[in-house]
Amino acid sequence: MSARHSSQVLQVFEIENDPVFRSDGAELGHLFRAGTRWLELHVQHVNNINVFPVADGDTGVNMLLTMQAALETAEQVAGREAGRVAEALAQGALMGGRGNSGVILSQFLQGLAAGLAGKSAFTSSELAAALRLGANQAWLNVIDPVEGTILTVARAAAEAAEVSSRTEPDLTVLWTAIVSAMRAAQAATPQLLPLLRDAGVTDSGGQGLLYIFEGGLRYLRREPMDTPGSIAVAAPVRYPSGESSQAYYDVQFLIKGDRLDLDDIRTRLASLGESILVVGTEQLVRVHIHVADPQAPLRLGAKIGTVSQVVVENLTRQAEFFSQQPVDGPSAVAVVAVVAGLGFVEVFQKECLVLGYPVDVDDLLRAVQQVRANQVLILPNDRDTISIAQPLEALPQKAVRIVPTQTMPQGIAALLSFNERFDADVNARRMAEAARQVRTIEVRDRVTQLNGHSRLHRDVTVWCDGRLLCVGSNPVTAALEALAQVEAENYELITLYPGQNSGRDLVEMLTAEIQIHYPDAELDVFAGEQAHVYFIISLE
Amino acid sequence: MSQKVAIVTDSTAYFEPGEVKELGIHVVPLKIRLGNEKLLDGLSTDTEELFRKAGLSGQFPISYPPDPAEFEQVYAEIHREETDQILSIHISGHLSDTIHRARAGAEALMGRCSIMIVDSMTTSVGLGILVKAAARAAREGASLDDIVRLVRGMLPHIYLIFYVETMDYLERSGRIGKAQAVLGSMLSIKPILFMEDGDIIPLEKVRTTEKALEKLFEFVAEFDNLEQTAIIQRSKQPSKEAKLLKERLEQSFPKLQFPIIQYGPDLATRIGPNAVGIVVYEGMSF
Repeated sequence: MSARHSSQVLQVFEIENDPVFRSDGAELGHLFRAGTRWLELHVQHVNNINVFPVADGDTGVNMLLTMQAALETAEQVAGREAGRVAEALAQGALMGGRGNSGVILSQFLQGLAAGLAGKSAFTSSELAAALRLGANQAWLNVIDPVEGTILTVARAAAEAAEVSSRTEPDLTVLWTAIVSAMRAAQAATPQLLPLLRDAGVTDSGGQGLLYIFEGGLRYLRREPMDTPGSIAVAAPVRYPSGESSQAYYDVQFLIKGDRLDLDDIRTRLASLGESILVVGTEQLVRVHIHVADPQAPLRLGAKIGTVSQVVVENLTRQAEFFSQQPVDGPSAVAVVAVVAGLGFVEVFQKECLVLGYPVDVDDLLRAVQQVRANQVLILPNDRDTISIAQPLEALPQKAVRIVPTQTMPQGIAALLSFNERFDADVNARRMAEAARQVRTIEVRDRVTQLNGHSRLHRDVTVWCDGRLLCVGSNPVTAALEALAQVEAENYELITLYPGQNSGRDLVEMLTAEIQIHYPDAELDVFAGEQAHVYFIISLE
Repeated sequence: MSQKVAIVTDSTAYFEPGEVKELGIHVVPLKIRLGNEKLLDGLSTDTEELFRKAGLSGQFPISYPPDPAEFEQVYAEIHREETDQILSIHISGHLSDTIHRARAGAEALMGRCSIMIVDSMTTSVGLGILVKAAARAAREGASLDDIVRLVRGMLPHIYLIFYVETMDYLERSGRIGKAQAVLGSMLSIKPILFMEDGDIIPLEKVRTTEKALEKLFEFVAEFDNLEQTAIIQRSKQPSKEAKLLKERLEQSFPKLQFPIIQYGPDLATRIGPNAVGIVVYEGMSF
């Protein structure tokens, strides 16, 4: 069966304009790869017309990053079954989905995958049905769906496909009908959404989706993909930056768990913020929310499962920046920080794109691509993460500098000396210097082998700036011993960051002891909420 | 030939006792409101007293610019009794509306007087330096145009750098965008700020007094030519921090004076009661 289909696909390459009545997964992959390429060529246009729901000028980048993540996963599929390729596209987009539009796009792909599930190839009418599922899925997963957005354009695609597929079995003809319906829907978005009309633009998410489908059409018609064509790139939409408005954050994360209830999560998030998307399965849920207090949804997530892949971005800062600066101007410097501990997120969230620890190189790469600056400083705040980040310094598109911070307090010291008026090199030097002036003591859980089982034992190891200082059995005594060893009396400020499992008694005990032993030093206590480290103590 | 020029400023300008009278400077006071109480900046309160009251009442003091009528009255009086050449130099328009009130007040005398209104792009000691230079030039008989030229020439050579214990006051005064506000206030952090083109902009942040003072010192050390400086702080009596900074500077610049002065209530409502800073007037080489 698969042999028959591959010969049919080969025909597409050999004999142009021959009608195609059934397409397989490889063809589906080609369509979306071409679409992503076309989107990439027009990404600036999509960014520039971004006014809804938040005018932060990143819709294009977010959709592109989402599609790239989707294709990456799809490439790993062995064979060319349409159902499996579609499933991989959806899964990749779910895991790598960025921003509001990215998560909606991932839902569209999710529906498409559901429609193609189990199929090795698809006909026009099967594709139409799958597109309908995609448009529905996208609509259903937005808590407060609005017309005149990507949702409207996706539905136009599905409707056109349904009508056309009744009479037209050929994929190219079908895709042509889809694209022309999408263009009409896209042009009409300002009539449905007054915000767009006032700004004199069409919807950015819809435009992004349209580019993806146009790219597919160019592929089918064998048209060149290397020039942006005649589409004029609109100037970025300027809007008054709300100085009085509260800072707003884009928060995304995954929850791993058991029998997760998506509706329940949605309901509980609804009171916290806006632009809420909750998608996934009972075992794995992706959450996207715009919120004033990023801690709230993250805590909710941590309560019902294991939170990972945390990304927190300050939208207000980005929007202000977008309204003031030339887009991706050379002066733009941004900071990406890898942060372990929910409490620490709060310290970094205002000025950095925050990634939850641990990260891999792809997470960092996506973050670097996502920030609206062509110079990016990375604060790894962990020794291994420094090595993981290293390859990014060779990126050709952006100047990436890694400030080699090994601990959270070093990262904080480095961030404090960040100044966006300096370029990345000057900042990297100043920040590294600031980090060097902080001493960090970490009192860690010691994982010991008992009876062949790895388990947490009440032993602790104490580290100073990455060096093993001593081993103890009581975290408080061990911390005090470490403070004595590094001669804490010579420092002005001692900051104590209790971890997730430190317990109030231990914190109170240690606080009291430090005040007794070091009465001249100022003592600051801030819950870092890190895992596996009872206490992080910094000396300055 | 040309008439003598009268110099007007506002109460945010810093003067040593007796200087105002000696140089014949006219000072229009800003107002400070604390709850229901209205105080005149620089006259009926000083910074320490204001914050003692604020602490007791739990209210934030708020500064208000003078009314246009108050400027009009001062200008009219000068016109009646002294001269029709007036130079009015004021606190930065980025910090206060005072300059706009002065312009509005001057409109009433259009045609009768030549009134020049100049935005000092600074406040406190820096504004005082400019006003005194203007008054001295006026006493020597310089024309209005010449004095304006002199003041405008001095403007870019006056610097103010300081650190604050809390950003609350700056955030409250709305002079710093919310997104600029630093790292919340959960950790003890001392932002270092800088007056540039009349606006207060954050430079960087440190966590200890020692580092904050070091940053102020480094800033001063970069100048080749220090004409005049002043360390500003909240209390009449020099604080520990101000004394440390003074010692450090005197060691490196043995020939220079680093007086410690108390900044006024108006500036205190903007940057808070616990700032320490330094004003630098860089000598001009002509």
